[in-house]
Amino acid sequence: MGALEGSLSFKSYYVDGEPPNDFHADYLKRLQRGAFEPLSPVGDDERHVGWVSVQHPLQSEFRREDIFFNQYILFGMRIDKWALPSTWLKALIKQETELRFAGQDVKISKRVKDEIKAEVVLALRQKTLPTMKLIDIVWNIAEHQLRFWSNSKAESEEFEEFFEETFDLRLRPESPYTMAEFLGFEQKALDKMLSATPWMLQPL
Amino acid sequence: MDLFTKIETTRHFGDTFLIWLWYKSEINDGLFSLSDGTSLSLLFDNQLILESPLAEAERAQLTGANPSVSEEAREALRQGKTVKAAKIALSCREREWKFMLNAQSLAISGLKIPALMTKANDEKLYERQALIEEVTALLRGLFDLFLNERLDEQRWKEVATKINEWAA
Repeated sequence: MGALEGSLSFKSYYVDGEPPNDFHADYLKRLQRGAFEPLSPVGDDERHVGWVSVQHPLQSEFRREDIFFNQYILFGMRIDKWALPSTWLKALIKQETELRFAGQDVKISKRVKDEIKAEVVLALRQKTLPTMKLIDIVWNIAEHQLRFWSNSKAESEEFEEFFEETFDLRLRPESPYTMAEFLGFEQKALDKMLSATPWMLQPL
Repeated sequence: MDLFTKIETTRHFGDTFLIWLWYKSEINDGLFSLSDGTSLSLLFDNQLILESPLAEAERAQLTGANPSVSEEAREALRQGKTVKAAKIALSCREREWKFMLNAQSLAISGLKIPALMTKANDEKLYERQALIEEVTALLRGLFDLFLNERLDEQRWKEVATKINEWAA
C-alpha cells in the first residue's frame, strides 16, 4: 500500500542504467518471469515472494495497462507465508498421536512423529490461508528513481536482490553519498566526503 | 571502495545536515532560498529525536508543540547528542508537506502531502507521485546548499563557528 493510497513511508533508490528502447515488452517479460506463485498446502515451501500487479495482486498474469503509466512502472512485491497457529498445531498433533496409539504403551519414533506433524500441518493449511503482504513499488523510468513502500531492512534487502536479478539493473539506496552523486557533485567533492571526519558540535 | 562502504562512511553527513537545517531554520525564520531561486519555508515540527553518537541508548525523544526551541533540546545538543530524526514541516508555492526525516539515510517516513485534486486511480497515482517527487526535489535542493557549504573549508569554518555559538 502507498502508491495509490494509505501510508507514505518508503525507501528511495536511484536506478543505474538506461532502459532498453522496447522496455515495455522487455520489463513485462521480466516481471512475468518473477511473478508471484501461490503457496500450495502440499509441499515444503513455507514462504513465497514474487512480483504482482498492485491493482490485481491475486492475478498471476501481468497486463501492460496495469503496470505502465507514462513514465511510471507500478508493481508490487508480494510475500505470502504460512503462519499456522502454534497452539492449535500442538494440540492437534497431541490429539492425533493419542488417537493412533490409544491404549498402547509404545515409544513413538521420530519418523512417525514427523509423519503425524506433516498430516496435521497439511490439514490445517487446507483450512486456512497464508498471510499475505504487499509492498508497492513505483519506478520513475525517466528520472531513474524508485520508491519501495517499506522501511524494513530485511524486506528492502530482499527486494534489492530480487529486483537486480529480475531487471539486471543496479539499485543505489538513498543516502548522503548517493544524493550527492545524483546532485552532480564532482568526483573531487565526493572524494572529500569519503575522507571527511564526522563534524562534532562543540558549543562555545 | 565499493558502494556499500561509500554509503556507510558518509552517513555522518546526514547528522550534520539536520543540525545545519535546524540552525538555518531558526536564524532565518524558516526561510530558505535554493540555488535555482526557489523559496521555501522549513520548520522543525512536533517531534525531535537526539542521540549520543557513542551510545545509542542515550537518546532523547522530544515531542510537543515545538520541541526544537525547548531547553531540553538545547541541553541535549550541549551534551553532544546529534539529531537522528526530526519531523519537518516544509512549505513551498502555498503547499505544505510534513514528514519525519531520518538523518543517516535521508529517508522520509509518515509523509503527509497536500490534498489531492483528483479521484480517478490513474490521476491519483500521477498526482501523488508528483507531490512526493516535488518534496524530494526540495529536500535535495536543501542538501545541495548544505553540502556546498560543508565541503568548502573556509565557508564551513565560519558556519560551524556560528552553529556552535547558536547551540551554546
